[in-house]
Amino acid sequence: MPTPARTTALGKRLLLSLLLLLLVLPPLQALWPLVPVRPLGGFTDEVSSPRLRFSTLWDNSFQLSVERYVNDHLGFRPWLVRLRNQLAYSGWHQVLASGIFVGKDQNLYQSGTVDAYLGRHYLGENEIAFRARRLRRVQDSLQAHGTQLLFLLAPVKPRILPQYLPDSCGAGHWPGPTNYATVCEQFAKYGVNTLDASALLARWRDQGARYPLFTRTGTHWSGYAVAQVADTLFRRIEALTGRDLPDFTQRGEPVVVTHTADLRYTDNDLGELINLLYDIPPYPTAYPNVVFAPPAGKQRLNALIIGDSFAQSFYGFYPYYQTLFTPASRYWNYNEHVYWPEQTPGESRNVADLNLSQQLRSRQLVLLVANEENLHKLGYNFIDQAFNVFCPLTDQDRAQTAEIEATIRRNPDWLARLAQKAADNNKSLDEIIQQDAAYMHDRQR
Amino acid sequence: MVFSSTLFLFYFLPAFLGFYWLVPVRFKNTVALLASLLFYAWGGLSFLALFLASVVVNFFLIRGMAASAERWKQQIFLIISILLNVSMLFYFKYANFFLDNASAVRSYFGGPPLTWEKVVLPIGISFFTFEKLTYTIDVYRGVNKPLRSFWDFMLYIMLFPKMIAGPIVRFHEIAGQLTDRRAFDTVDEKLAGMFRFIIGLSKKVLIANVLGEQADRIFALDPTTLPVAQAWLGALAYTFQIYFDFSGYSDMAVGLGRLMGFQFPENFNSPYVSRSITEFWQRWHITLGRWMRDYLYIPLGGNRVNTSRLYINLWTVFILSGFWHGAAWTFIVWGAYHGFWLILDRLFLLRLYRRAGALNIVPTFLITVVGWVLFRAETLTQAVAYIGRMLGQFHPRRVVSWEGVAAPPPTVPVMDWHQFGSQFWLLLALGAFFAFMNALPALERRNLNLYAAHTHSLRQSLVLTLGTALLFLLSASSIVGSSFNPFIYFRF
Repeated sequence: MPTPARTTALGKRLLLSLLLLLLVLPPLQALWPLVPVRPLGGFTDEVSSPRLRFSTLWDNSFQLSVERYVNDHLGFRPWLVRLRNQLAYSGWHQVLASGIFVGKDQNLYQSGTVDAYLGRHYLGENEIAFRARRLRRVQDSLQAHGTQLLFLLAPVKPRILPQYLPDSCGAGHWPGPTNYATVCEQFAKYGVNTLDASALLARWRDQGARYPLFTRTGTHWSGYAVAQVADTLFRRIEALTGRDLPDFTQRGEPVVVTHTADLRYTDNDLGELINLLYDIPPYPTAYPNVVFAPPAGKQRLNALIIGDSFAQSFYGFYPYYQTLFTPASRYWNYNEHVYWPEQTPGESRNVADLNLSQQLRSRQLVLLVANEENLHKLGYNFIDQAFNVFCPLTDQDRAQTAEIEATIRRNPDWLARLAQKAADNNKSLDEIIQQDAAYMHDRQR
Repeated sequence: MVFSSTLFLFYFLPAFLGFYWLVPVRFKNTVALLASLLFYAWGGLSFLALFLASVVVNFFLIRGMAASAERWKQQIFLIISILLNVSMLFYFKYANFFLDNASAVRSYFGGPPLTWEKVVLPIGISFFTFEKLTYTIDVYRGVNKPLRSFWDFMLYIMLFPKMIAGPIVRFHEIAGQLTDRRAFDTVDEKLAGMFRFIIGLSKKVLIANVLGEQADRIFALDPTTLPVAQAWLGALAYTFQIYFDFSGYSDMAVGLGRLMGFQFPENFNSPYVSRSITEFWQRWHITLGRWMRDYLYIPLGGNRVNTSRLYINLWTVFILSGFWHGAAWTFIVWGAYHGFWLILDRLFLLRLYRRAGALNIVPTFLITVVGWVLFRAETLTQAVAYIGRMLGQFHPRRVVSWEGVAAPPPTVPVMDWHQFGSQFWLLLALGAFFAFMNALPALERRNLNLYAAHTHSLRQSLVLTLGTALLFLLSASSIVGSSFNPFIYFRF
């Protein structure tokens, strides 16, 4: 029979052991993952295992690497991160992922999309007009080679769901022009083939769309919206190219989901990124049953798609590209990397390595996709690159550039400003003069 | 390696405690010393040799002092030891400061600026220098005999819980514990140490870090254009940040000490409930205050000098105290500022305060807050401008455009109260509550008992364990989660 004193001592040892267990469980879990833990969503820079060298030990970089590695590979880390995020979310209505905030009724937004909606990063009418003119030249040059160009303008969530924006984001104080409005106006003015999906979705919203066009926890248009946009988009492509693409229809009632786990592709992209313990429940979200008819007797297109992640919806939610375009088709993400198809054996995945002229001439369609947030980067350099393919510099251009250079050199004030610019950029004055003259001439072409 | 890092909490600490508790008593110091060496090397391997050399030299100097029969010989050893330690501190901590100032003076008179290789500050030098000095002086004064074992001496200087940020443990406070800690090697002490460590961790991670984010944000703005309320808010946020950060670190050190059987002195005792600046310095960074009193103020003559000399001594001690905190004019002025208020206390304020009782907390706190602005600001100019805004001055810089056209005069800015978020406001309120709750003497007594108790009942221990576990989970989630910042796969 133990005495009370012994029981007390034993009890205290047990309590101390429990506290120690809190310290040792995470490293044990890291070594031997005994408890299944839901991994974290989103992407981070992977920390590689630190390599011990005397030099790195001496300058402390090894120690810092070890600390970061240990932190990133700690057992139960996903659970600890989610706990912190959940507390902030439930306690302060705050999301601990950079660039994301919570609006009304638990709708998540990315701050960049709100900036675009409110007209921040406005390029200015002249700049947009210049790019529209230039894109029209590219469109005409492509057409001369039998290739059609179409610009698909995708919406941002705040434009379609402004009613859920928090009052603090200043949506009530309309600042003035936006890239979206000016692009629509200038592209129409210069005759650039454009499909304004923002206007489409806004119209469907106003007509009372049956299901969300943007989900509560997504930043991209929903799978439901993609299926509706695809109908219009591919009809427009058929009209533009004069090709009869394989048919597809929405058959029967869509699949309606009410659980976060059932959301598809990007419909919970922000929800995954904020890593909560308890997911934000979705509004009932629909996935139409899209059925593709056999392609016999139909014509598939060799397409080049250049754009942002909104372009990926057409192969992520439903196999539109896979079915309607030929295997030679490509999707260039931000005009930088080949993202689709996922395998292109023997071919570089880096766009800079590819011959643009060959790429353009082999296509029947060039589809440019940009959501409103990316309009300040209009064209991702593709417009200028394609323009230079079709309108290479001539001797006359070079002479005009030289003339501008001479004008600069004759103007002391101008020269002084460029000397300062050269000093600021750590370049020679000649280099800066040539660069500025070339830029000025390019703007006149 | 800081205490609030994943590596320390989940790897170093449990591994160390496992070894330390399992080995026989005679090996405990060895384990503690090896862990301390590893701890120091981890943060500053390049300084380890220099640091160890200074410890070795110091040990044998004091050995020599103790072996000398004549007082004048002992004094020579004392002076050599003090010179060695102070010059090391001076070189590493203040060389850049003095060269910067010399260069500025030279430039002012039209000379070319000085160029030199920046001296890197070894971690913990301010603290371990003071501890080496206390050992030297305590032995010289005959307060303690020198340690016979070099390893025990090294352990006293290097003991990792207190090496980086204090408390400054005077040699005589733990001389006995360095050789025998069995009296405190109990499960109660270990539990109390764990509670204390995690309370400190929570103070640092859950309160100080959050308040610090906003304080940093506000202090980074141009002070001349700050709304008055925001200037005060920034100062208050920093006031509570520095208290919870520093006292949290001290709590962690004291807690770690208790886990090892050491009883370190307390470093903080609710300083913001002080009713005068004199009292503030009895409650804030107590071990520094005591060190300054015993090894600087008293040797300068203490209170046994004429009035004007006493004030000069006081001010000198506080200017040096400010300089000890950091090598910048802002710290020196901060020390001078506190010295000034201490002199006013002696002159008439303390007599004036006697009538107001607890109400004195308010002016004392306000004086302290203004002082923290001096401490926090990057430059004296910024500090003056910031304090000016707190007092309502508005002299914004007039903006003149490139064409030379003056912009319209700026209007007095107004603070947007919503910009800080509810988490900040709640934690500021919590911080204020915890900082001021000991203004009630009954609560203060209860909290002190809880903090310093050597035993708890099983029921108390159970409640404390559950609270500690919860605080630990929250702190760990904050530490681990704060470094996780994912990006969406899709770029926009």
